[in-house]
Amino acid sequence: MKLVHKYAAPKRFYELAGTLTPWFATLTTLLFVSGLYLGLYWAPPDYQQGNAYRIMFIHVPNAWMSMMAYMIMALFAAAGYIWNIRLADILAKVTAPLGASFTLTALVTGSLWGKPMWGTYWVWDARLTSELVLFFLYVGYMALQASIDDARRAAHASAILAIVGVVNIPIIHYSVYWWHTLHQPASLTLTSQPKIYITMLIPLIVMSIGFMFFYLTMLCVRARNEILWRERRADWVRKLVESRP
Amino acid sequence: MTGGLLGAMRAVFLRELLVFWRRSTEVMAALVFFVIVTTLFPLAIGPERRELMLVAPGVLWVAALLATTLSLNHLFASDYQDGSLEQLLMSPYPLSAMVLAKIAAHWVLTGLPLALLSPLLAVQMALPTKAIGTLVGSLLLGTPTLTLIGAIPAALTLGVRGGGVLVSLLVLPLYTPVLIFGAEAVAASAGQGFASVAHLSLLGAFLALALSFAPWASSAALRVSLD
Amino acid sequence: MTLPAFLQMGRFAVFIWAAYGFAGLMVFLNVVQPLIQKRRLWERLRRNQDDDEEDMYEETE
Repeated sequence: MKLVHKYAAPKRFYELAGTLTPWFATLTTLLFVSGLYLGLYWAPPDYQQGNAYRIMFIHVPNAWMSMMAYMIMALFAAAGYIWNIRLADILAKVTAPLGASFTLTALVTGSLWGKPMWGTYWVWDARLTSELVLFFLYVGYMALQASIDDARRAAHASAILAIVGVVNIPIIHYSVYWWHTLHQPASLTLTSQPKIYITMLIPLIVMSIGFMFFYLTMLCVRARNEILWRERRADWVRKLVESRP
Repeated sequence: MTGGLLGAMRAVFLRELLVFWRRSTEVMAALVFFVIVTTLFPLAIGPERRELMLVAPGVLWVAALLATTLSLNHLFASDYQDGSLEQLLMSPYPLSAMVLAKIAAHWVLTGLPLALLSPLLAVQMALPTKAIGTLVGSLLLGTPTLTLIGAIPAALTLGVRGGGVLVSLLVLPLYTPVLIFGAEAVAASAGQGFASVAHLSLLGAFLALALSFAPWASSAALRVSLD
Repeated sequence: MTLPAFLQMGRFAVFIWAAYGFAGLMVFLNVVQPLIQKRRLWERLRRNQDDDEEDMYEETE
């Protein structure tokens, strides 16, 4: 716990994130470039879906990240709420817009994938529907954050909302899946290929790790901004600003 | 001590009933909203009974859900303004129990009449007679869950700008499971007749979950808002 | 594979490039937005240390 508090001091994290950002950014770029090469060029066309399946390499990582980011956000929010760790409040707050953008990307690419597969842009597919609900949850979280001026109250109120959301997400998810199977028993869902080939799996994994590091990079950049703003009256920020005219 | 707790809960419950009853226009507003919204649908879709029957379970459930959402703003707002909420915080009894009593009173005056009124609207929407029992049952099981879940955002947005719209934004995604199973239960019993038991028991499970979780979460939310 | 054939992607070119384009745009916006915010934040910190405004985005929007 002592160690947590040492690194959870906003100043320490500001410095740590500053050194990590270029490394994360480089890694993200490398993974994205190689993932794009593998996904768009190296992997052969699928015999059923032709080239359309290549949308999977961005849809699936974004869908994964959208859910993972919500879990991370709720964990940070809970830590900030329970132990009063300011850094956790900040990390939860800056995760929300990133998670929302992953969700939006998953939705748009999912519907662009749906058009060649189903013939329409939107089908009430279980995955797309629960992504949509997840998007609304993110929007609600950000709206609540934005409408409360006091940073502490904003953090605690939205933490409760995030925890309630996490309890609800599995229920929403399974309700939607059940609802979907009831109404469309034999329909084709995204990513339910009979067999996933190794040539699909490799680009998928590379792109997924790429988006994970993209999240980490942007988390650092955004958290540094937020820390600097919140600590603007602290001595170390004054010194920092004076040292870099 | 338990007797004291139950006594205090009963006192809060009765006081809430009385207070809500005095402001009966607000209570009636949700009910009237429910009636008007369901009346709008036949006007928009057309009077064809077969078409109305198809959408009736969904329309009735969505209207009930929106009416409940609308009434959430009155759950804590006036107590927040006149300061009696802070007194509740000072009380020696656990806040979650007091909140539960408040929610129960609120439901008795909004959810319960809504469920009792629904057969009338079901007739209007050409819902088969055999499904009316399921409709009332699903609303009786579902609306308390809606009020319980809704108490959390209602408590979180106290004194926040744009509170009313914000509550709907926060609460509607959380309502999806209840809506799915509620409307499905009615649709199932309108079709085959008995398939709705599974849906109703799931609604009961949601209610049990909400009962154990929501009072605690909304009292935590109240503490944050009144800090 | 020639470049035109690569760009054409069978018959699904529009969807694939639209999807990758949208994802690229979102990545781009996610990178640019905090960088702009950072620049404005630094300008503001240099200008006035005792800024009493509560909102970081007051002047950025």
